[in-house]
Amino acid sequence: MHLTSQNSTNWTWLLAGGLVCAAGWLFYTESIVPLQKREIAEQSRITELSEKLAEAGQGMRRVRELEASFTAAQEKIDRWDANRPADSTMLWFPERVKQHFSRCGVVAPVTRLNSAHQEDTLPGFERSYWAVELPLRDYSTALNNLLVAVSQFEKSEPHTRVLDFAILQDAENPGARTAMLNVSTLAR
Amino acid sequence: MSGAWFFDLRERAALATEARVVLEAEWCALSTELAVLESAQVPLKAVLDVPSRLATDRDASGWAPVLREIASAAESHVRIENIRAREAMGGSDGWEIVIDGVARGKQSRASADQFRHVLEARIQGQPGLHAATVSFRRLEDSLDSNFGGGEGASFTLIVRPAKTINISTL
Repeated sequence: MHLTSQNSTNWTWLLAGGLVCAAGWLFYTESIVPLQKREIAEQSRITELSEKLAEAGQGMRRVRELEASFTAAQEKIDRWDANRPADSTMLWFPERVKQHFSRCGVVAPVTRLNSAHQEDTLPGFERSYWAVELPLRDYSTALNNLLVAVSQFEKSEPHTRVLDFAILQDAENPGARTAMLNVSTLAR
Repeated sequence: MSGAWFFDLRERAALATEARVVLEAEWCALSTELAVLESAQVPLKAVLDVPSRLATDRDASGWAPVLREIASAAESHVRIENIRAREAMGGSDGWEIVIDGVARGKQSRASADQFRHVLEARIQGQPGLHAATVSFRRLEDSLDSNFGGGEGASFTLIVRPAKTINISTL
């Protein structure tokens, strides 16, 4: 009888112990582990976000530097054509040709626009191609002036290139000739 | 003891969540602003290169300065009949100038060659043209009516910036 009562007490304690262990395990798995996992996940995300924010900060600094460089570049571009008329190239270029060659003793040039296109590598800029016809009434005396005038033309007009040059004989007047130039110029 | 540890853990997790939410909001605002700014970078970068490209375009020199040397080298016994000049296709540094002329006098061939030598020396003195060549394409005796029917030599000279340049016949 006494033995039976003792066994019963032992079983009770054993059962109680098992229940306490089960409750502890349940508490651990349902409360502690999720909290630990949450803390680890949050810390991992914080590290990730901190790195991204640092990179974004550097990106913002780069953009600010770029904006400063852009302003400086824009000022240089604005100064680039400060000595050129605001009019279209169609208006001022033939006039410049006339002025230049008149100064060198070659009068009445005929300037025609052949073509114009946007420059791929220079946004906002257009290169135009012109044919310039220079009549030489007295070829033998005008030739030297003409050669000097053509060689000076690129210097007097920056961004202007003489692409080709030829002297053609006048079939009706053997003493007279015509110099033909193809010229390109860059403008906004 | 274990109870305090549990509450400490719970507080740390809560603080981490709070910090993460703040950072998420900060990242959201900054990434949006950065995306807008980066989208504007492409046109900005295109403009940045413009001044250097303009300088390159301005400093590019062709054959036009050589014409002044031709004018200077031609003396009274040499008359230039024609000049044709052009740049090579494709915007390279190649170009070619063809000069047709007549030299007069008994030593007309020698005069033509003297003109060639003087012209070559003058052109080679130009910046970037130290390797330029002036060579005869044609040199032949002729009676020159413009020089009073006397002896003369007509010639064709080819001026090139370097020996290696070979442009098709003008």
